[in-house]
Amino acid sequence: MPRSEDEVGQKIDRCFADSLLKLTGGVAIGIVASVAFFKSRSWPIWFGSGVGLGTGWSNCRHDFAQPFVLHGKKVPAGQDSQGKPAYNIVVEKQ
Amino acid sequence: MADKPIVNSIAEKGDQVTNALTQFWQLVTSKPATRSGVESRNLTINELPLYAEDNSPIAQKFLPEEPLPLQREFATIRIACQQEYARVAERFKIVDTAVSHTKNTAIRANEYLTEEWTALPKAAAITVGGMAGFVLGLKRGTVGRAFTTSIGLATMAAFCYPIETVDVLKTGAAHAEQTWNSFQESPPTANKSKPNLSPPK
Repeated sequence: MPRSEDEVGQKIDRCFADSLLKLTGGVAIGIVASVAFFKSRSWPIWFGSGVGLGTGWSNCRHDFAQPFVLHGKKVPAGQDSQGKPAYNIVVEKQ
Repeated sequence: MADKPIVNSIAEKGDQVTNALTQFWQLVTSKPATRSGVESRNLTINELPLYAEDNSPIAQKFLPEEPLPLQREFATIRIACQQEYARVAERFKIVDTAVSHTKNTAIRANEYLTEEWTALPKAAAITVGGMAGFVLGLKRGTVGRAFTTSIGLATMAAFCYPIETVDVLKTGAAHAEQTWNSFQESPPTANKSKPNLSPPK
């Protein structure tokens, strides 16, 4: 049974990692758009970074608003009695 | 058909306004429990949702997802920061107190702003009142401008938060009364003779 502090901490980590990913993606798209379409103006970069930050923030809000979501992966575990593939759920751990 | 004398209609209008003001004052000064009109219903202990086994099990939702890149690094940084903070907080209690107070205040403010939808319109109305006061006091110099601005802000705040205004007024009145009473009960100052500070002759 994980402690609630650890669960919140894991969500915070996911938030930071996700926001950084989105921010980097937004800045990258902004740089490309700025060079390719907007005569190297700087506003597409700011716009992209804003979009990235906003997306990360929104994802964080949704993640914190849903306490009963498990993040993890499915591991194939043979077949069940009807011949369908069975999976074990392995919850993400720190 | 003769019209009513104008004095009578003025008196009627005056009564109506007085009634409305009285009703407003009663609504504002009444207790919140009686104002809402919701009757409380007493529950027996058995009816209280105390026991977890009575609740329906919470459905967990599963998201197949690998850990994001850099998530473990963020976890390492977070755990290190937590340990360092625990060391500092153990050494300096005041830091921990200040941080927890700030955190609680921020959480309460966030909850209030999220759940109480009237907060932002009220803030906007109070701002508009302050701006109106500022515009009215433009030709009055710095002090006059500050005065009219604060009057505008206070008026709109009193309209937006009538219950709190009444509370503040009541508290102010109670303090004034207390000060006045203690002033009345204070003993008269003894007529002290002034010390003789002149040099000896």
